Amino acid sequence: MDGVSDSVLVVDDDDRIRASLRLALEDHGYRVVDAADAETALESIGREVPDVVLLDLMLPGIDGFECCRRIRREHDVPILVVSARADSHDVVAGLEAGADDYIRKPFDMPELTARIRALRRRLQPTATLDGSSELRGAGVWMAPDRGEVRVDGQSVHLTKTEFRLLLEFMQHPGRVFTREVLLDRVWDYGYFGDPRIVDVHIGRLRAKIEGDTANPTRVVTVRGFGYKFDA
Amino acid sequence: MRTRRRLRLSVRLAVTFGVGALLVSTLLASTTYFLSRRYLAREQEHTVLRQAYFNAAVVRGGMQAQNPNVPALLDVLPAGIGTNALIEQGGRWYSTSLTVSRDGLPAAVKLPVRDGEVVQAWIRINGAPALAEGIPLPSVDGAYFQITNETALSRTLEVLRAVLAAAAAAATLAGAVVGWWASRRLTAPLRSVAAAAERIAVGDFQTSLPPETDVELGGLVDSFNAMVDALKERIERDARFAGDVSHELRSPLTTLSTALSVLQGRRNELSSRGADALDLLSGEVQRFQRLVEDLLEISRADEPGAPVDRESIRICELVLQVLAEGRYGEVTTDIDSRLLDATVEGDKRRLEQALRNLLDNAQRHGGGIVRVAVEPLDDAVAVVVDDMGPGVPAADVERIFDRFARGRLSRRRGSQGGTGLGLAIVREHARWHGGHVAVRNRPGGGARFQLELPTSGAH
Repeated sequence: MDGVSDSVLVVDDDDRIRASLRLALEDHGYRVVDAADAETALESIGREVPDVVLLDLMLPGIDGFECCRRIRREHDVPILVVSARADSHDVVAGLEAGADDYIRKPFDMPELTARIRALRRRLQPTATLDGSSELRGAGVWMAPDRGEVRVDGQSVHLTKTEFRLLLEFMQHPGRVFTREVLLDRVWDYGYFGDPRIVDVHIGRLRAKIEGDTANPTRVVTVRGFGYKFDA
Repeated sequence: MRTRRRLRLSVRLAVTFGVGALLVSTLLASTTYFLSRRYLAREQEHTVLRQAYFNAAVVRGGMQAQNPNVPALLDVLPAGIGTNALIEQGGRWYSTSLTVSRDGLPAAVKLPVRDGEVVQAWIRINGAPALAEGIPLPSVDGAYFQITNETALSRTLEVLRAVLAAAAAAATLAGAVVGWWASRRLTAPLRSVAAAAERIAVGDFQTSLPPETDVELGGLVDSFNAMVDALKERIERDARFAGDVSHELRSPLTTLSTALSVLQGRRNELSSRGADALDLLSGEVQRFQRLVEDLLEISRADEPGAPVDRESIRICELVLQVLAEGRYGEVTTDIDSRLLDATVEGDKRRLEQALRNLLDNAQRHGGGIVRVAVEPLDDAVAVVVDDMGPGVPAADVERIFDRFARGRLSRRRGSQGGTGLGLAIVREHARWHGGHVAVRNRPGGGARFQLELPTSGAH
């Protein structure tokens, strides 16, 4: 852990879950900060931005969705939503509120730590395949090593996950990616991920780089297969 | 117990209406016919008798003359077509026609005339109906007879009979048609109720009947719709309850499994007895976790009308992918190459789970997986999982797919961490995709589970 251990902010209103997660994550070498509600969590982030946020959606007062949106307004920190409800509706709503990934309660510790590691990896600066520092296509310009993206000359802010997704597309213009392949390459989960994560993130990416999200021209859907980048 | 099924209501009503119409129309037609016949016959008798009197008077006048010439007399009689006259005088007979002689006259006409009576009677001449009159002429010691052919009248009656019979037949048919139509009209709401009930039976709870304007039928429709709503609410409540229970169990389970993972990470700090107890605990918590997941899955299957996006899934790819997850080791696969592009319209997650549950079942209870095959069927594809266990007793072939069937099965199948819901979930998911799952024993021993799913594309 490079001498300085990664910090995880655990937001959950269940004392016992917080206590057990603190024990388990500390055993895995993480530094754990916890919060029992959204207000405390936002305060804590205001003091120090953690490396990963583990956010329960069912919180008293400000709920997890709103908390997620508020964190996202100010910070890029990867958010892993923890939900007892695995209904489509909750998962999609959580992702749309700005979460990078979700995991269902109860989870296995190895799975949880694998996801945290994957989220952390996405924070690392990324190099392009051919070593060049810039990519262009369809009016989009990106500098992977500096984390900058411009669409038609306008600077656009992407989250880490959105950035990785766009990078994957722009490195292989015209190639059709299935959602499973994207899960594997961007989220680093192989078969364990939920394809809905990809759909929601594609939607958010489109909102930022497409002129008309209803008729996308850059990241287009290939019916029955997945998505591709039209350069 | 079998009840003998009666004829369909519509047929019975049609027959009833038809028979009713037949009775009424036959009665009316025969009454009409007999009244008409009597009236026409009377009219004819009257006319003919009047003519006979007139002719008799002419004959009597002619015969009272000196040297009466009887044959000449016959010739001058005003006679219509088909009318023959006979004159008898002192035992001698004169006739206008060769075909009609005194022998043609029945005794019933001749005898009373001899006694001085006027007679009129219906007779048959060569099979044809005729009216015969006999008028005694005592002043000239003779009698006048007249025979009128009445074929025309009988023709008229025949036509009338035919027309009335046709009308009766038409009325009968019309009655049957009206009966059939009325029954269709009457049973239409019944049929729509039956169709709706069928849809509900297969789980489509969006079904409701359109409002009915008729008061009596409206009552049926209203109470049916109310019943559907109540049923739906109840099923939803039951499903929600199971779902809520599972959700509530998730929080303590999260704590349990997280705390256990801490203990497992420090296993070497425990004594060997402590480590054994930890392993037992871990195994059971995992099983508990699976049970909660399965309960949730089943309750979701029970929840009517949960919207799900269906997509085209390549079934062979899915099978290989699940096998590649590495939980089942090396498995012999047998995939029909014609099926490589076969797709199933459905939910990938459900199909994966159905498949995993079948494979888990073979591994836990069937002594291991022998072979996994994908085989073509008509408009469907069969995923076959063979195991090398003892097979399934005939009595359990259906029950094995029931929820928590384990306790009721005629043979214990061991309990190596199964939840008792795995095969029930397979059945739910198969049904959800419009397919089904069955088990039978392989000739070589062991069980063969076959999951059949309707395909969407061409093979």
